Amino acid sequence: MLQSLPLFKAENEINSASIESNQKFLVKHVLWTTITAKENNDQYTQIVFKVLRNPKHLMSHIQRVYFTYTWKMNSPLYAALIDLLLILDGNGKQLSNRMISLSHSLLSNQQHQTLTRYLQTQDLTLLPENKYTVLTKGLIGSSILLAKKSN
Amino acid sequence: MSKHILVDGLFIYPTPIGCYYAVSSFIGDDAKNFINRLLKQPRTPALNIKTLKNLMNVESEKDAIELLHHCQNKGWIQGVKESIESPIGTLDTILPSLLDKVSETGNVLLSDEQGFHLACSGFTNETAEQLSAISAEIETIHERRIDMLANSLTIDSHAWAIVDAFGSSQLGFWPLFIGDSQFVITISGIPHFNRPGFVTLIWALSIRYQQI
Repeated sequence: MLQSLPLFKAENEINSASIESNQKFLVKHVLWTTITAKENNDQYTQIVFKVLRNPKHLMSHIQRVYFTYTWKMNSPLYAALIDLLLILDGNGKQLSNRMISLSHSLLSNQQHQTLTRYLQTQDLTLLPENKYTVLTKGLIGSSILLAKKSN
Repeated sequence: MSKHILVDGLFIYPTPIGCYYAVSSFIGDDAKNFINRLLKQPRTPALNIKTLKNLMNVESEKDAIELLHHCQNKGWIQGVKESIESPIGTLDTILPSLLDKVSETGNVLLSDEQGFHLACSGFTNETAEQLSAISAEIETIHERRIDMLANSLTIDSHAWAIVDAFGSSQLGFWPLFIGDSQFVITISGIPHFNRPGFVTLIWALSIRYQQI
């Protein structure tokens, strides 16, 4: 998958203004990587492991969205947005809206509709999983088997 | 009297995290035994008190509801609207496609405790054989050192990994304890035990190897 991605810019090709504006979204070692698909892949794996280690650390999620968007990784980007929305659990609506609207160009219409419908309804069952989601629970049914008695 | 009632019209099915909990350690408890018995069924059973008491091996309704409540709170079980049949076919035919689902890269291997590989996805045959041997050696080391790891370092996990400079797993070895048998699942890169396919994988192995 990553074989077809554009190569990273060499460090000296990235202008300083761009670095400054994007710095807070970058994993520290993103700027080291420049050349091979394997390095890109390793970088992506690092970010996903960061999300897995600390799922509530928002910056890791933003880095994952940014990275997958930058390298035009459609399915991993969709997964990154889904995992972010799961963790936000209805909070951070401005952040959610911003991430989804900025990613719109790389999402399919169906993916975009699914995410925006979730934002409107906050119905977690609307959030699908794909091969790259790491925080979804893999449920195919209801997590509620017991209900409270009414009296 | 219990404060809870069962939801009507559901069939009991483990979640991926419930399956992982049930097979990731050989130390049993009531919840693990319940999930393991569930994984031995040819179809997902209907959710009712009689079935629960039987699967949980308890006498009273109250005990059954309490254990179910505990499992629900932990996210170990779910209710599906239609009964699901256990995986059909020989392990040789169904395992590779199930293994593929628990890894992002598709490089997954299932081997037994003797170091023989049972099924593989992504790895070449030669690599699979070498990794199976490594996984058996790791299990031997783990068995020898498990008391020290658990008691002195309070590390409960039985899994081992080859990590990079950031501590992320490049190659991980997760033992699966199913009945009296032990397997090791080897995954390159990011594991995805959160997928529905993981339940199917453990169900297929439990039907074949679990003796409960």
